[in-house]
Amino acid sequence: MADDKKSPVLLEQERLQKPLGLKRPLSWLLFTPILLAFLILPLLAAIFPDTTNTTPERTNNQSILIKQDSTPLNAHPYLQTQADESSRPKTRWSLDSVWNPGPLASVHSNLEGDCQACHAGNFTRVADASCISCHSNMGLHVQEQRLPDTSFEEGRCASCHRDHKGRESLAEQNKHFTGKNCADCHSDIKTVAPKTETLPVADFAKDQHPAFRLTVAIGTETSDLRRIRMAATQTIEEPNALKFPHDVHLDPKGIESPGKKVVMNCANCHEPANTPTGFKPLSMEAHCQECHKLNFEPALPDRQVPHGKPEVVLSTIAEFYSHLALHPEEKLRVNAGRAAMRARPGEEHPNRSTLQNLAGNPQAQAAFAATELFEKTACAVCHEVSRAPGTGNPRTTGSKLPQYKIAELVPAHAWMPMAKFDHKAHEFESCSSCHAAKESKKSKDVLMPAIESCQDCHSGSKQVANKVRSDCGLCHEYHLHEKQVNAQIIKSAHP
Amino acid sequence: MIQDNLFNYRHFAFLKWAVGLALLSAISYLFYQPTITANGGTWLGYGLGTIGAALIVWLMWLGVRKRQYGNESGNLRAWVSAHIYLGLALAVVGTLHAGFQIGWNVHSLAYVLMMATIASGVWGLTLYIRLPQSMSDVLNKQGPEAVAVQIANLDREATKLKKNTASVVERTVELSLKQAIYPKRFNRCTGKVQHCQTDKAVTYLQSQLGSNPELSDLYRNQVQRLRSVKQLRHYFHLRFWLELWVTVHVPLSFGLLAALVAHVVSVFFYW
Repeated sequence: MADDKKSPVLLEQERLQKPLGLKRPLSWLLFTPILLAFLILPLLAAIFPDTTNTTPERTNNQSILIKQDSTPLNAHPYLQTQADESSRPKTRWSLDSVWNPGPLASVHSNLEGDCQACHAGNFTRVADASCISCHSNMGLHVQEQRLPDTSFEEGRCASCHRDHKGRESLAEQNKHFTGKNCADCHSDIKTVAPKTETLPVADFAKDQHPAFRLTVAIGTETSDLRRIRMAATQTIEEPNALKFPHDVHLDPKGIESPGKKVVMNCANCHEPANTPTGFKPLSMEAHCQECHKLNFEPALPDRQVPHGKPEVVLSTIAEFYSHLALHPEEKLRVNAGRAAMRARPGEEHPNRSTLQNLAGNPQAQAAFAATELFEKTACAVCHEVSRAPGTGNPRTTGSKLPQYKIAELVPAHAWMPMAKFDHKAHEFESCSSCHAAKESKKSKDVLMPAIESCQDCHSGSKQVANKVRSDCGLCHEYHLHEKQVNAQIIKSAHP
Repeated sequence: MIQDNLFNYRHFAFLKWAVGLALLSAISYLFYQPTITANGGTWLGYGLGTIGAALIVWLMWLGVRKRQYGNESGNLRAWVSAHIYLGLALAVVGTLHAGFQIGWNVHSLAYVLMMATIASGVWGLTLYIRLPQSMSDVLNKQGPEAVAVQIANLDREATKLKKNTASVVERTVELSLKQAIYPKRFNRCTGKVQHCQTDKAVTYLQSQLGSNPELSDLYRNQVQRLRSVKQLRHYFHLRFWLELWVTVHVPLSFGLLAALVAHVVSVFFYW
């Protein structure tokens, strides 16, 4: 024990007592590279971007056009005030993409690695300007934003549209916001917007949603559209000059046609199509004329006038009888036809007197045929026809014939232009389960179902057995697009 | 467990705090309905993130606090007890802050490093439960110095005893006396040494005892040396593992600190 030189075992023991001494170097070894790779280098790359490699701010020329030419009335205020940024430098080597918290929506995935396409990189939240630089035609929720941005979830685009949540589209994400978020304001809408015509609505179920408001034409101009709320006791009527009794056409026993009795169904006229209304536009030629023929000469049942302006119809008739006057052999044939129709002993014929042989003034023959066509056999069956005073367009051959005016029809338009309703999604239902067309005697009837009809199958935001859970977003849009509204009002074909 | 130890310090005061924190976080998480998905960017997410970041900084402060011998703010046992329980609660807070999302980015790196640090802490804890007792048992409640001194004494005795023996015996014992506790550094990991010269000397002397009874003193000496060396080997092997987990735990926590700073700054830089 007393020796000066310690034994090797004692020395080794002392050495083994000492700590390993690796904590400090290993700590630096982990700390420094992580800080460098994940913070310092990305920050430097983001703050001092590569100015030689710029990327155009807009790749979509269309959006610039929209912005300059036809900014929607309810366009985002940014669009009306801000100038166009032409280009912006890119972060070197996309070093900041290590900060990407999750995959961008598939439509935005081309922006992965270009964080500053949306993020300003100055400790501020993503600004609307970033979104608007592409989505320039987005309408606001209301024409004028009335609520001050005081709440935590302020009214930024990114308050609702949160990216980095996976490849699903952000539109799909919107469904998360409908329901409670809508009801937050709409259940007591008057406190938010005192002047609004909108009634309070908390949910779709039971009495929490007011009756539908239908967009109804009050005149024949496309601007003559008014929104009228449905009432339980009365059907809304649209002043339509067309005479079309749905009940007669949908008679289950069938309806007379030139050939035989025909049993019609809705799809004979309302053909499903990929249009805003979900159906092909109706036309006389495609849907009516097979039965409602426009023939004017009883002896020639296949000779018809075109379905068009009265002056075209009158000219066709005038020219036809003048032609017969100049071609006696054809007149003989018509007269032979008339005689054959006349010679039915014992048969009662209401128009016997009209079936006299053609003779004399072709103008008088044409005038007679025109009066029959417009007032009795064809036009007046469907249209409101009135005699017009004086003579017609002197540059047409029918100008000397009696002149007629056809009352204009209201343009075809959607009765609920803002509602998202997909007829295809409801094709397993019969038309009559929603539309009372079989009982409708007038074309004026707006055959839209009341809300109770929808509520038979659709519950509100709460789940109910055997009903489809229906949040606000199932039928309603959040952004109001002026363009979209207009697009759904289809210009009708000529009456 | 009669007296206060790291676990039952003040009737499990910190265990109660930690369970309370974990339960509060879990219940808030269950009842909070985020509009899109649960993640760190919601109200609750920011709240849990703040708590988590504060916890990490405070847990790491133990390294500073344990070196401040004059510091009177709570005794060190209280600090370590709180470190253990709140560190475990951090796993819950951090996971809920992340909203069970994981990806290839700095945010998940911070999460993985946090969980790895906590896991290494749990590993260390299991070592701390068993090893100090084993270490004490191995040396029969002596210190390693005392055992080393014993070996030194035995070696002095052996040096005298080997003088009048055959050269083969002398050489064998000489080699045995030079035998270190751990001839190679990595022997600490296993605690075993292959080709131990003392072990060989004992075997050799035992075989010679029949023919040379005078070797019995030397044989006893070498047997005692072997036992003491093995004691020290086992002791320092256990001590090595007790140090090794800290050598993993602390650098991981510094890696976590770097990732945490990067996570917080980047999240708000590109808010």
